[in-house]
Amino acid sequence: MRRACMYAAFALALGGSLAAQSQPAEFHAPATDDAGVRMQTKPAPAAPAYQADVEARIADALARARGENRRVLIQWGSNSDKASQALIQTMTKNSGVAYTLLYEYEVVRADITGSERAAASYKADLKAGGIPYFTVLDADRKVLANQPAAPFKAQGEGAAAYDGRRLNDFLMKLQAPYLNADPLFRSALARAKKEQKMLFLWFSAPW
Amino acid sequence: MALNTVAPVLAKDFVTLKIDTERMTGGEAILKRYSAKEQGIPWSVFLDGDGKALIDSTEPEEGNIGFPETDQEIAWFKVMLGKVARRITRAEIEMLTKSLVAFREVRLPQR
Repeated sequence: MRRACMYAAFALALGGSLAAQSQPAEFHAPATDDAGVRMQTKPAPAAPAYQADVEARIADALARARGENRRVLIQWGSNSDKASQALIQTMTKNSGVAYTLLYEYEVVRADITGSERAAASYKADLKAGGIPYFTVLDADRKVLANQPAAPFKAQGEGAAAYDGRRLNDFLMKLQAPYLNADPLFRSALARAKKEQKMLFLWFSAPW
Repeated sequence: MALNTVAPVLAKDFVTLKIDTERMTGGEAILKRYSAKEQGIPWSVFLDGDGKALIDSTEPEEGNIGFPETDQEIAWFKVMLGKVARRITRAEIEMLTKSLVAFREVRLPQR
């Protein structure tokens, strides 16, 4: 499985700038004093689940979605909101939802603070619908759904717990139709022949 | 492969196509057409313009290299490129394979 996951990063490995990869986000060089002796440091704080800079991250997600025939799921919420945090638990712990997200969606968790303009651009009515809230986009940035998460709250399991089955049904209804590999293959092969090139054909899966 | 600095190098000799065998109708059939036996995925092959397989990711002794991670796997990927490259130069092949080594050492979990 690990090797498969690594192959998912194959494009990045071959295409990414090495300079850009020289310090991954999780890398933190140990602090040293003037003599170069390593000092005790606190672990780096975890990144907040819901982040700002929404439009740039949506643009990145759309680019990935186009390449992988996926949808983009914008999950509007707040790091200080219990329901927003509970929804993340359902989306990561419920196996059905987690599977659908892994295979079918690029997920952007957007902090609503400072994201009003972005939300409005997708007609996400966060004031009326409350948070957490979903916007589903196709890879061409077309809005497929705006949906408050409140209707997915589980009955009798506490106000902040969500029904994974109903949430998964919602996600599966909106996932991208699967492409037919054969015409894509024939088209790529014809293009290769016309351009006097070869076809680099690689087989993989979302995991 | 479609990203940044490497894409123009690969595009000198290749049209690239990713087949997602779990999310594309008919993807599994194309895999079976070129991969004689079940070798798992990831698996890759270079085809000429008529669809004839030139070389694939099955290293003769070790089997499918999948994602080229170890020195031996990266070496086989280099062999693959070296066998078919027409416009891609040796220096560019070195750059491609070195990028895989660097990726392994910087980004992948330590073993």
